[in-house]
Amino acid sequence: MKSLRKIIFRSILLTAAIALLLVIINMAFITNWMLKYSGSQPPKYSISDISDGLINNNGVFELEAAAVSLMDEQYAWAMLIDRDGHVIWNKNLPGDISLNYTLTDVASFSRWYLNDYPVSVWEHPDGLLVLGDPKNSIWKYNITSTEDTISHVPGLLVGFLILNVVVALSLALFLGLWLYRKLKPIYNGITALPKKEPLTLPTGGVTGEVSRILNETSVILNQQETQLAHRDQTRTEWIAGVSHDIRTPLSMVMGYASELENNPNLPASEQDQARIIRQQSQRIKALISDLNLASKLEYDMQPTCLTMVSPGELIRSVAVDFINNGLAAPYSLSINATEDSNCPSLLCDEQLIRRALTNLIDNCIRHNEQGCAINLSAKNSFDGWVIKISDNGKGYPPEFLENSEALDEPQLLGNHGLGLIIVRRILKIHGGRARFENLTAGGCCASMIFMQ
Amino acid sequence: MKTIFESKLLVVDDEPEILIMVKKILNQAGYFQVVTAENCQQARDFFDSEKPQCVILDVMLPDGDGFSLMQELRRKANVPMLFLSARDEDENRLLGLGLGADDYITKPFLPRELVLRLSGILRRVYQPMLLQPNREECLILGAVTINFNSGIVKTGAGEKTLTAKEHALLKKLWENQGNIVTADSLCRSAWDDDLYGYENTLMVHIRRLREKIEADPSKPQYLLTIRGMGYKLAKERNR
Repeated sequence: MKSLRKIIFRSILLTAAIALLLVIINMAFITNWMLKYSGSQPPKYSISDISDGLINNNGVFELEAAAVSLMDEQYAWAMLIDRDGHVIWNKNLPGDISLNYTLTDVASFSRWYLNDYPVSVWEHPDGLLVLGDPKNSIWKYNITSTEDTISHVPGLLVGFLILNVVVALSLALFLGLWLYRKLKPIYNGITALPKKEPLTLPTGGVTGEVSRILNETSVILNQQETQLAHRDQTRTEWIAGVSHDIRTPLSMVMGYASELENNPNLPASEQDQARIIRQQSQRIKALISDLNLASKLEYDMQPTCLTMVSPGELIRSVAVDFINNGLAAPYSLSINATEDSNCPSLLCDEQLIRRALTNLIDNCIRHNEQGCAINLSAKNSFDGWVIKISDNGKGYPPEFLENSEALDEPQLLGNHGLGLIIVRRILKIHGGRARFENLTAGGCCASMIFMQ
Repeated sequence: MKTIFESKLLVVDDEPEILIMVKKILNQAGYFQVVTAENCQQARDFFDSEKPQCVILDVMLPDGDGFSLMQELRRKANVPMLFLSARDEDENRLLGLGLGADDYITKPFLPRELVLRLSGILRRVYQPMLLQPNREECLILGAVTINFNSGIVKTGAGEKTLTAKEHALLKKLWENQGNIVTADSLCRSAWDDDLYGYENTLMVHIRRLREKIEADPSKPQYLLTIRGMGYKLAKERNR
């Protein structure tokens, strides 16, 4: 809303500025024009000079040279009318001009036109000097006004200017407010679009069309959101369903294989084969479980339960579970935990972090058949808690490390299965990240960086 | 009922094959009174007629779900219930809703796992009733005998008494004999608190315990330190 107000405020200011600018330009133009056409043009007072230059030499009129040049400059023709109304002298007189005039004629043309010729008159000792311009060259108008009106002209001009400014400003303000009121719902609609909820903006008025389009867009976005969520859910449920269906027959495979493995009546070699069936069934079980968790993490369907956990206790208990469940030579597990790691200071979903740790330790074991020494450590660094799982085995393959920072998960899969993808996703939902690297001394190190 | 193996068990699962297998597993483990039901209705009938001491339940049943069935049966008789589920989500529901199931196992499962969990539940629920009132809980470590009822340690040299904390620590270790117990779990048993701040206190208590139960406390034979992790009470034969 703030930005809309800013936009409208600026538009009001701009409109006002434009209006003011127009007034100023107009004023400047008029002033300039008046100066140019009234001030700079010499008034035709030269008519008196011309009149003075028309000399009566005993009935013969002669125009002096100076007067001739003045006249040529400014007038097309001239005539002198005596007191009886007869033209007694002329110069360049057009043919359609009469040579006799009555008092009425004189009164008429002295103020207006003579046969459409704009004329000026001047008193000459021998009559009336009439000087004419070509037709359609001069516009003549007589202004008659009271003294009172004329004396108010400057005030009126200033008032007119102020009125202009006030009208311009109030129009700008009014238009701005009007625009603000009209645009407000549109603005609200646009800002609400990212929430992907259906909009119901009023579709009347000037902005009706835009509102209608916004409403439609919001419906489309909402539908897409629903469809996406539905698709994600379907996928997760599908995986969960398939997992469920595989688990029941696998129970039988695993159960009976385990029975055969422990059947003392069977030869050792067959017991061993049963052991392999049982072990592979357990791997399938782990895979199904990983697949399920990976899909739930991907589509945010795994409910998380955040609690304060002490990182030291967490890694100790995971390590102890491995050892108590029979992890033995050639594998070994050790712990490095700082004293402050015994304090509950890591906000996380304990079950998920356990799962990540278990996956990483399983990974160390599975990829180092010759055995390895695994170390778990918890340290509070600048980035927050960092839990590291390292071993002295053969390390990650180079192509895995190249892709480990990539966003493309299929590349990450490689021969490391879903385990590491799950670790990455678990860290992601904790706002942290996982880093995988090989150690210079041999072996590899996976860091779970929590960034809290 | 003299031992837990005489318990009557009711197994409910919609897969007849699973029922056959589970029954076989339980029989081999020594549980001979096993009744099976394929749906909720059968389960209700058998629950009323057979009065089992423990129920093993699947979650997905043709005529209802295991969670509701559990609550229904619990209202009739408060017997332990163990879930056998084929879905990971059920684990979350069980934990999240706190429905009060005694344990759960995700399919597929190892026969040994099922038997261990079941025996654990039965022992926890029924052992106190099976025991003679004055039967003494004793731990024998070589020449040393520890009586947990009286808290007295008998050695060749004489008798010593365990303090309350030593008793709690040793009992926790005894319950997990042969396995490592993390320092955190020990701390929780004795002080009901996180390890933070108790690291040295725990060490001191372990040292005093060793003085009471070990022949040579500086070279412990039974109460072993597992560096970085916790302690372990070695089994007699593993020594």
